[in-house]
Amino acid sequence: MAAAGHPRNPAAWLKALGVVILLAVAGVLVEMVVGVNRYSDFGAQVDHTFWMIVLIAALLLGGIVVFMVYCLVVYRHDRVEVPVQVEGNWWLEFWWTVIPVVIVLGMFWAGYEGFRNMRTVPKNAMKVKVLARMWSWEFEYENGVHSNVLKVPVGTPVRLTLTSADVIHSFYIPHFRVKEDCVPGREGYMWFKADEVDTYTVMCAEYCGDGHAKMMTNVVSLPREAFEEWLRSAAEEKKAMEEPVAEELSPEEKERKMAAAGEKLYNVKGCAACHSVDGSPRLGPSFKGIYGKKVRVMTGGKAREVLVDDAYLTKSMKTPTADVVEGFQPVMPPQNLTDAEIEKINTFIKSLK
Amino acid sequence: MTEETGKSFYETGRPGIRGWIFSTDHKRIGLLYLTSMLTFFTVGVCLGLTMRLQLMFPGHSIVPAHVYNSLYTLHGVIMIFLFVIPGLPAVFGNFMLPLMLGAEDVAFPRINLLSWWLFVTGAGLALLTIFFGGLPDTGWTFYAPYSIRSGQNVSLAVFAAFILGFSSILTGLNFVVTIHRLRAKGMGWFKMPLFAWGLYATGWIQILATPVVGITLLLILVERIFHIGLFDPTIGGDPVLYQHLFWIYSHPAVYIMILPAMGAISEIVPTFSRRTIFGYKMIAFSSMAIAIVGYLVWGHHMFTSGMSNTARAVFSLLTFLVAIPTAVKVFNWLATLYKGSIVLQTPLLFALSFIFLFSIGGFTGLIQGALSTDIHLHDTTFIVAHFHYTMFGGTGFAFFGALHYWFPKMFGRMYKEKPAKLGWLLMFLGFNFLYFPLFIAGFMGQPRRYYDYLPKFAVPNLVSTIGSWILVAGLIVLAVNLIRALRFGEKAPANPWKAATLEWETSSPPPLENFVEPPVVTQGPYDFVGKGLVKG
Repeated sequence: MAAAGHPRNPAAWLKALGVVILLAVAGVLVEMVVGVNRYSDFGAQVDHTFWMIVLIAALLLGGIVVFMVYCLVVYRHDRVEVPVQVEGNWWLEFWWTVIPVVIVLGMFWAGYEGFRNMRTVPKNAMKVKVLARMWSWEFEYENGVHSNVLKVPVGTPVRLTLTSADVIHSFYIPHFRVKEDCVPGREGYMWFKADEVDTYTVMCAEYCGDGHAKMMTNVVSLPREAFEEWLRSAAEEKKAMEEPVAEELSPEEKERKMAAAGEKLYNVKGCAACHSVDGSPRLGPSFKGIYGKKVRVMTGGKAREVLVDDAYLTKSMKTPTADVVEGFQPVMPPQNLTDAEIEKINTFIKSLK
Repeated sequence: MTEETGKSFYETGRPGIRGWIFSTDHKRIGLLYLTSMLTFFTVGVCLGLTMRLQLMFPGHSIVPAHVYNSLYTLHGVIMIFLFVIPGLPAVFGNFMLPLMLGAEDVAFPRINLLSWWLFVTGAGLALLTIFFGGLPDTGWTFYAPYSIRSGQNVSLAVFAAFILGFSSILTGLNFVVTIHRLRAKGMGWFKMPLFAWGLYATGWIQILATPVVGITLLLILVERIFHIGLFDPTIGGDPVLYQHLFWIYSHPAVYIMILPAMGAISEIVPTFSRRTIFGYKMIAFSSMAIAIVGYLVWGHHMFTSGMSNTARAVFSLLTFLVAIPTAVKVFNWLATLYKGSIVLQTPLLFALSFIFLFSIGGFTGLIQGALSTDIHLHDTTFIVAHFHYTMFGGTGFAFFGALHYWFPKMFGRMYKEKPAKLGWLLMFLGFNFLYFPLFIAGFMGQPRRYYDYLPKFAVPNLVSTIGSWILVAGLIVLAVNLIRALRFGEKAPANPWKAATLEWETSSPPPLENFVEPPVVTQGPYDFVGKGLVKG
């Protein structure tokens, strides 16, 4: 049996190769119907690999189903009384082992090619640090500007350094087809290039607790000049913020400046993910009107009443699970904030009447 | 060897509940597992239904986030540790393996009983978390450092999983020794039914891989209780190490889940095609190949977790290789239909839908095995759809196929064919409506383990929820039909399907000692002609 099939060997190889090439071409055609991903550098490449595998799979699955139905019809019991007992065929076994090997190696290569691009960061890439925490994102630019939205210039490669303040999160931009985990104690990296001026959702893809599903922000790609302008003004704003509040200001003016700085921190440090300023409860109580009120809290399993003042707020940021407002889960992680920052946030909360 | 030669195992042995929960008879233990597992399965289905109801519309919550997180954790823990992993081996392996080998019992009947007790103890401990300290909310993967920081009672849940691991190890050990030592006279390795081959490969994975997860889970306990830095970076640990240790077990575990299922398919397809299986040796060897290569692919769960780029490429390549023995099995099953004389009864419907659904699971596995596409799809609902196609469309459908195949042997009654087919149809349609839309939502970018999602994912999620109702309707039809048959079904003959393996040569249900006289094997397991079951 082995000898009989031997001369056909090279021809069959060629055939198999031809099939793979044909399928790759067909993959491109499918993609033209479905639409090509034009949002980022490797979006199109990922989608191309995706549709190529889907198409090969669909053809094979179609073959399986057609063969199954054919057998069910042609060899059904009331048509065939005496079945043929075929024990096997080594040539068939050989071919349906070898051809799948060739096909999957092709798929592996396609996936690897795209992956290599994802992991090879262009030298001129702009660098941004990403800090993930329960349950918000913080971005730090090279000039020290912090933001909770990732603003980037269009058409420029951006290299992200990823880490986490608490548990594992995963930085995922579905439109760009990229994702990488933010692991505490480690630095990961990824890069992308936004090819169009637009806004794209960023989501957390690694389960991280109660706020996981709401841990979202945006990538906003701006024209080069608009981005530069934003980065400059953000840097100036930051500088103004860091200056000590001038002593000669009136107490009201001082308070107003502190509250403005606190509001900025409220957004950047991720408080906004769980605490609203409009009275609606999220994962935590709203900040609106809470200052100066008495609230019922759970302390070590026992309910008691406390006054919300600077001391309570400070304690709630440093050891959040010590006194948890009734009706909420003890899920807030301790916040890594300086005393000056806490003071500003307290002033901001106080201002929310 | 007909009914009149002896009483069935139901009529012998101690009466009452003690005759069951302290019985060392492999058949009774198999049925104990069946009852307890179907109970857990029902709970798991209810949790799943609630999850789908929660996800029916975006922005409308029926449960808060922390409840949803516990729902999906429990759904995963129950379905994986209490249904799919013990799955076919614990029920049909226990009941059928000694019968198929022509043996009186498994090699260690008392250890077998101990396995069931460990299983029930582990399950009970997991349920205790409801009353003590709150349900775990970490997902069945218990990823560190979240699992170390979670205020919920993770310790108890982890300890429960540890106990369940021992149940699994002991069952695997028992089967491997049984297969080596207790085959009937004349039954060489290649005269063994393929279900036994599937259990043999599974047994080795259970023995070699399960201890790793046992150790890992203990390390979590050590870290939670004694604050020794192993996985939590704030005290000097490495969270990625946890993922490696976890998947070194948990990836081979998916082959623990699927290999016995493939074994059952290899029994059903030839029986209902009325002809010998195509490529017996290739199917047997491919089980072993899957078991071996399956050890080396765990890293594909971690393509975005921060492994080195080289490690990712190597794991991707190995992952593609594990597809080959699986493809070989599918081709051989299909070839077994060729030139057969096919009787399309319920078990075969389940077997063929297994091939269809498991193929979709396998093909989408290729998409995730490829690096660049997996980076996009990792931790989205695409993965959720993929593993439900393999674990439910695969193992689940094989389980129900096996149940309908061996039901007459186990209970001595026949179920009605028409309601069974209707139940199958609803289940098959519902299954695809439930899970296929999740592929689409995942490709669009919906992450998994979200209790709420963006409005752009609304359509696939709505379709999926409606599918879950159809699926459950099918399960109810199947359940009612089988429960009815237990009481009112016609008496089953010894060999209702005219199958050629040994378990059909004894009465239905079998006597306590399985065979009145120890069988001597002269023919292959699928030699329908030699046994005079079909014309040759």
